[in-house]
Amino acid sequence: MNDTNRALNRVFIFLVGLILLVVGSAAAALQFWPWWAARWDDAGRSAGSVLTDAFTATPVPGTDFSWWLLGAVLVLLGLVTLMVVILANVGGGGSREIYRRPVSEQDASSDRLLIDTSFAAEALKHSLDKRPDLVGTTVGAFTVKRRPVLHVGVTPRQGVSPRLVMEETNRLIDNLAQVVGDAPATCLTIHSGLRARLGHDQRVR
Amino acid sequence: MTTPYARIVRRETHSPRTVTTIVLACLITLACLYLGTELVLRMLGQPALLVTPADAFGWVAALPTLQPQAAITLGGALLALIGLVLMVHAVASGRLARHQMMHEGRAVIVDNGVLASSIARRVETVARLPQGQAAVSVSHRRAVVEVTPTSGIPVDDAAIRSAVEEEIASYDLRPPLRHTVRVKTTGTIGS
Repeated sequence: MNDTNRALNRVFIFLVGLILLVVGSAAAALQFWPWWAARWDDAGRSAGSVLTDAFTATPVPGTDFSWWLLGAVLVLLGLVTLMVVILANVGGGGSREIYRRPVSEQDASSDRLLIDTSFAAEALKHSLDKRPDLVGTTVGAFTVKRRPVLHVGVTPRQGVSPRLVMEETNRLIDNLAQVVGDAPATCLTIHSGLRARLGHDQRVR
Repeated sequence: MTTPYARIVRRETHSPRTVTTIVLACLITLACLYLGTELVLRMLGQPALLVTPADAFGWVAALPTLQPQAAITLGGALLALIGLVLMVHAVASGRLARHQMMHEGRAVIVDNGVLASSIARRVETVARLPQGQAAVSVSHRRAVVEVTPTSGIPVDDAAIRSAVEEEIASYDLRPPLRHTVRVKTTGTIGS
């Protein structure tokens, strides 16, 4: 539930796929399509001569290479920067607090009351870890549409009813809400996984 | 208090395609760095790591005349296939094996595996079977329960069916699950 821009991810993957598809089929078609192979050959020859002319026409003073090479390096650096931007886009969106409101109901400009995510995480994990039917708990918070959302992930043992897990976890969150004064928006995810399968398979109910 | 639960549920039940993005971005970065290194080495007049830029260009330009042609065709076809797979990957919904459990005021998401093991446990309890003799698989809209009775001990078909129905109904899932119960005609040797 992080802030990854999923549309960007998909557009990026699509474009890379498209480029690979076009380049790959262009290369594969050479054997079966003489006209296309001839075009490729012509284009290769003319591009070669154009490049040679361009390189000899724009030498960097005092060296044997052209400004064009320098330009190519800059283009590559630009591509690398773009990739770094895309990588930096992944993830993020964590929220440090689960709750924020003015201390005084009357005066909205008064100091603000903040409940730190780690407080909720400690409290919930402490309660959840005592439960015999769960093997793992993660608690965090994310900002969804500028609103903090508490995220509780639990991994129950094999065979435990998710309905029971949900009800008990919700009860804990309600208790937390009583302490904090207001129920934070909550997303609960119930996971299966290696830990559940490998965990000691005891009958808990 | 309006919370964007629809958005949360959508994000929790669909793949963000993050892994593919990271892998692709890293590969492209590496390729760019390699090409850049070759160019810089060329500019410094140093020997190339693998091929000089001029040789690489010449190779691409001469692609139609290189031998063996079959290898080039194969390589091209492979690239095209990878591209096609990536495009499908980008467009496909990327739905995860999860369901939403209805609860007022909260978003609750359950892995299908949790549902399956819970249904299996319930069936085993109702049918008085040892663990592992009810195999349940849960897909997006269907749960298939396969019961293997212990040889010589008949199981109560109707009780199993109603237990499965009740169990699934108690989850109140979106999308709802239909179910099929199959009791095998051949049993296993009791343990």
